[in-house]
Amino acid sequence: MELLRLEGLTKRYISGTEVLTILDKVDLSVPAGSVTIFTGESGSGKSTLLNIIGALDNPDSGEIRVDGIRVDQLAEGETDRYRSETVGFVFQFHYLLEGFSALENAMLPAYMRGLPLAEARERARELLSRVGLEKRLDHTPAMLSGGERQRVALARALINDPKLLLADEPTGNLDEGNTLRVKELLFSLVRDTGKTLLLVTHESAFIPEGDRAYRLHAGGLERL
Amino acid sequence: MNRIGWVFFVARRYRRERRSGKASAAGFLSTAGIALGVITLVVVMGVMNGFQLGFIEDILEIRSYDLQVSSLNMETALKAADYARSVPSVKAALPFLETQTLVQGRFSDFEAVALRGIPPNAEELDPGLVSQLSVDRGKFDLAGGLVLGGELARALGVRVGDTLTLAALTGEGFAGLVPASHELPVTGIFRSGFYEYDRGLIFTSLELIQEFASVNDKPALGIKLRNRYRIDKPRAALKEEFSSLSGFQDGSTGIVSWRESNRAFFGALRMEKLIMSLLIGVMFLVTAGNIYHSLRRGVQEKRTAIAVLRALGGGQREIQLVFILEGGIMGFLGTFWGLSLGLLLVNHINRLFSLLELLSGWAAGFLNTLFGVQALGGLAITPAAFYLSEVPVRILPLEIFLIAFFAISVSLLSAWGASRDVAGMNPSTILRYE
Repeated sequence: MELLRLEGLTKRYISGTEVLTILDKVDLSVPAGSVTIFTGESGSGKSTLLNIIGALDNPDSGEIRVDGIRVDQLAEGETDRYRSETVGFVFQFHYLLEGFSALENAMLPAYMRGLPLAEARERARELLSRVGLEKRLDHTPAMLSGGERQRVALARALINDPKLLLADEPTGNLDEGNTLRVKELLFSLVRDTGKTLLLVTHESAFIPEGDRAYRLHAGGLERL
Repeated sequence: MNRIGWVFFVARRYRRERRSGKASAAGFLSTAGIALGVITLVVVMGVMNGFQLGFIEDILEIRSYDLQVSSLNMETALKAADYARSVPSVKAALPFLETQTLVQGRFSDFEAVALRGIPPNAEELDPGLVSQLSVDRGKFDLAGGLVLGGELARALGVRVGDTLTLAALTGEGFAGLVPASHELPVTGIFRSGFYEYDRGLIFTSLELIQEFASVNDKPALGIKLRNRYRIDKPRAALKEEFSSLSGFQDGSTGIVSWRESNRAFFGALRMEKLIMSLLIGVMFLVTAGNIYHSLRRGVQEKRTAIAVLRALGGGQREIQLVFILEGGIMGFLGTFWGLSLGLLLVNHINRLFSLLELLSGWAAGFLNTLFGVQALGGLAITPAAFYLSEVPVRILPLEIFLIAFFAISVSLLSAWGASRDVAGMNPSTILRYE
């Protein structure tokens, strides 16, 4: 069953007098529960593609359908709801909120979605236990290592049980040991929960783990 | 499902973070600015109300009355007073006759004064009048002579028991006017606190004044209401009561309210208060600017967090609300402290003046001893310098509410202005480049 469909997706940026076509009529179909990996050079449009699918950015043209929703036609309030309920983000940098504990960071999307505070806390506690941070619940990002922060970010992305997980180089800032640990955790969580994962990475070691892989080049997708 | 709880949760966290961070000074100054503005407004309005309502009460209780019917004849005025007293909303009704006259003490020049004749039992018919006059020497005995203001007594050089000579023109028509003079004893001296009355007003009985009045001086009726701010109903009731009186129908000017008869003066007081409020209100604009810049800097510093919150499903308006709440908390705290300190200060303002008077006296004495100069001799930090026994204060709850409402609104408005930056933020761009 198809979860994501892109048709003729185009995105251009204007740089001075030059028009850069980052995505040029991209077509893509992603089945539910699959892992799709995107790779490519810096500036090839990988992050832009994920941001557009996650409704953080708008395409210049083309259609995006996620679970039957026309994402490119959502009104502002609907976009917020889509981001809250349908997708989860993991960024290269953890982007945890400073001054908030690991538990608070992880529970926030659930609280934002409207879950009662106690229920959101309980769900965050369970997820943080699954990523091995049950003893770090009250630690703020400044008190956590890089790998631990990224694990909190992973728990935060999964707390609303999204159908689609968008991970933009989640290990890009980690050392080898942490990269391996986060990678294993990410794939095991995705496989266990049946999520659809779109993963942008430079790490070639990730490619065999995916159900399919694409290279972004000259605005188009090449199947690897 | 509650989608707003997180806004309070995040706002509370940011507030805590701000209190302990670099921005704490800016936040404190914003709150202090609001508090200072509120204190100033509460104190100035309280004192101004004290003066203005004091003036109004002096004028209405002593001379002008809440409602007045002029140009009656004596019989009609007396009957109308009896009618008026039967109306439930009427507190007091007093017929009176007023004329201009010259008065002279044994060793003084003539002084021009207003001589007002009222019933000798005025103390019983209108206790408010006698209470407001505050007779501090002699007694309010009109049948036996004259009761005059303290400043006038001083100018004439008379005391209770002395005799005054009154001179007036009586008779009918210009050709028929004849000078008349009478000597009457001073039975009482009052000090109302309103200089104009203390310097130029004499009370006597209705019987005695008729010897000075010309035909052109017509009796009038003064009416005081239980609530002088609700005039229309009592006025209509009185008009109906009076309609059967022949004198009322013939020559009277109708029932004139205190607002109508003192329109210019009370209008000037209102304008004075409005202008003063506006001038002090400017202080809030400065504070509003402070809050705006402080929160705007906060919004810019939180660009990444804002982008993350957007990515997690936070709406633009909800995120704006986080910062508006922060401004609201500043405004609320500033207003709370401002009201508390302002009310404390205004309720003890006379103690403050006493303290200042004491300190200025010490300082003057010290400088005098040290340098042999009257350095602070001319410094007037005492209510007595302004013809006052104390600084009058009157707190009006509605005004306090309006001050609080204004202060909090200004804070919220500034915060809303600062939060508008959130709308222009593209989360995708921020997360890509931060």
